[in-house]
Amino acid sequence: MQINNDYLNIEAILKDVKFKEEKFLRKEEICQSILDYIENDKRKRLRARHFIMRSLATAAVAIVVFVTGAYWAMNTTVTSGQDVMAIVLPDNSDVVMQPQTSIKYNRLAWVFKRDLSLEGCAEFSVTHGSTFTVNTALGDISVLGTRFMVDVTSDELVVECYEGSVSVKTKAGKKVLTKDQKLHFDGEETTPGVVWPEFIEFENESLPVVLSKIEEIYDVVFADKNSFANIEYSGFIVTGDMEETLDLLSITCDIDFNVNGNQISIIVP
Amino acid sequence: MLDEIIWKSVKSGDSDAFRDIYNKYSDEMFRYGFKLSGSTEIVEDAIQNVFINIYRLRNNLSQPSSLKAYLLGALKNEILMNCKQSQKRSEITEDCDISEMAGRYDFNLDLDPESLIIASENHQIKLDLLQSAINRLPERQKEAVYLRYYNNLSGQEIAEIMNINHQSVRSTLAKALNNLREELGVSEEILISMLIYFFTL
Repeated sequence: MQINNDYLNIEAILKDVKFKEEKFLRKEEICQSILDYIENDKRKRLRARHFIMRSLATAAVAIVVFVTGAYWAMNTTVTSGQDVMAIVLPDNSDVVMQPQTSIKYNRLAWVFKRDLSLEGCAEFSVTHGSTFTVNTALGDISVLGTRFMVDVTSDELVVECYEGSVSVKTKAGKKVLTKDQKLHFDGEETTPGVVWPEFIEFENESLPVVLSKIEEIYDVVFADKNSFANIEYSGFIVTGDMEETLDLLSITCDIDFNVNGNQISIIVP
Repeated sequence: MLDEIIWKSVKSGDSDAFRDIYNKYSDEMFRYGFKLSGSTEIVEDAIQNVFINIYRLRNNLSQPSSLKAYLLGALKNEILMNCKQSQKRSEITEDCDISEMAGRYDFNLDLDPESLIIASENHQIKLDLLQSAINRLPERQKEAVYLRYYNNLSGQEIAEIMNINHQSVRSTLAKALNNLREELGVSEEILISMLIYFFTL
């Protein structure tokens, strides 16, 4: 026990005595300089973050300005003068513009969406691809890839479809035209029609049949046409010019016409 | 507040948390550092660097098992590094008591005379001998004694600070007490029992 007590004694002594030591006199000062460092570093980081945010904001504004500028720079307007004008759009679609016609589109936006505005009359041959839209004051015409004609004035819209199908959206609703169909819109309602071939040929056809066709094409009425069933006609009629058609008939069949509005009477000389 | 909780705030860079751990441990750090370097200036710089480094590296630091041991160990590294750098620059550093041999340094363990008187009355031992006995201890033994009996650190914590294993801490402490015992004229049997005691720590 003596041994153990002695041993414990020396540990107890070591625990009991104090070692000489200097006081930490500048404790508060050192603490403050550590905290100053931390606060200063935080402020620096905050400033750096603000700087980055400002730079990003500036870059964003610059990009917006650039894109907007590029967009405006890419705005394209084509106007035909006194002559028919043919142009090729960025997607290789062909447009034949009648005189006094104007087309507007944006070359940048065109990459994403085929979209143009039309005033006047133009025929489009559209390459296959995304929806191709012609915007007019009276309605929008959308197609995927086809050939069609649009003629728009301030109070009238005419759309003719030559190939494929065309969708026409107006105030009166949405109409789909297929090959050789036609649509007339007067600002209030739509009227369907037929696109005639340029010429129609007849061979030994009795005159009333030919006249009925002309009535259909030009929306006219021949008085007393059945009285001429004994006359036969071989040849063409044109669908774009009624006067020329009547001239052709009168020369071939030796008759004359008297046009009064949409009433036409037949005179045998 | 618990060190674990404070550490979370330290990790988030909260300056109040730094003030808390500073107030809690800086006195002990100063005393230990002073015994290592013998220079107020070096210790103050080192303490400042320890806290600033914790702040700078806070995102990469994991929770130390003992914050006190971590701080004292970091302080020791700071001081030794400072001394090595001074020596490299071939500056005459009277402040710095580090030995030229790598990893060895002086550890000044002077007893407080006033407490010595009180202790000598309590323990009936020739305590004037104790100081000279302590002075003759190798530096590492002095350091271990100081950390164990003054800072009340566990063997594991001392091992961490002195960068040696747990086993070495026990044997270093045992050797230290052995040496003291010899100096104070105590028989060998006691030393054997002492060693036994340490190995059962």
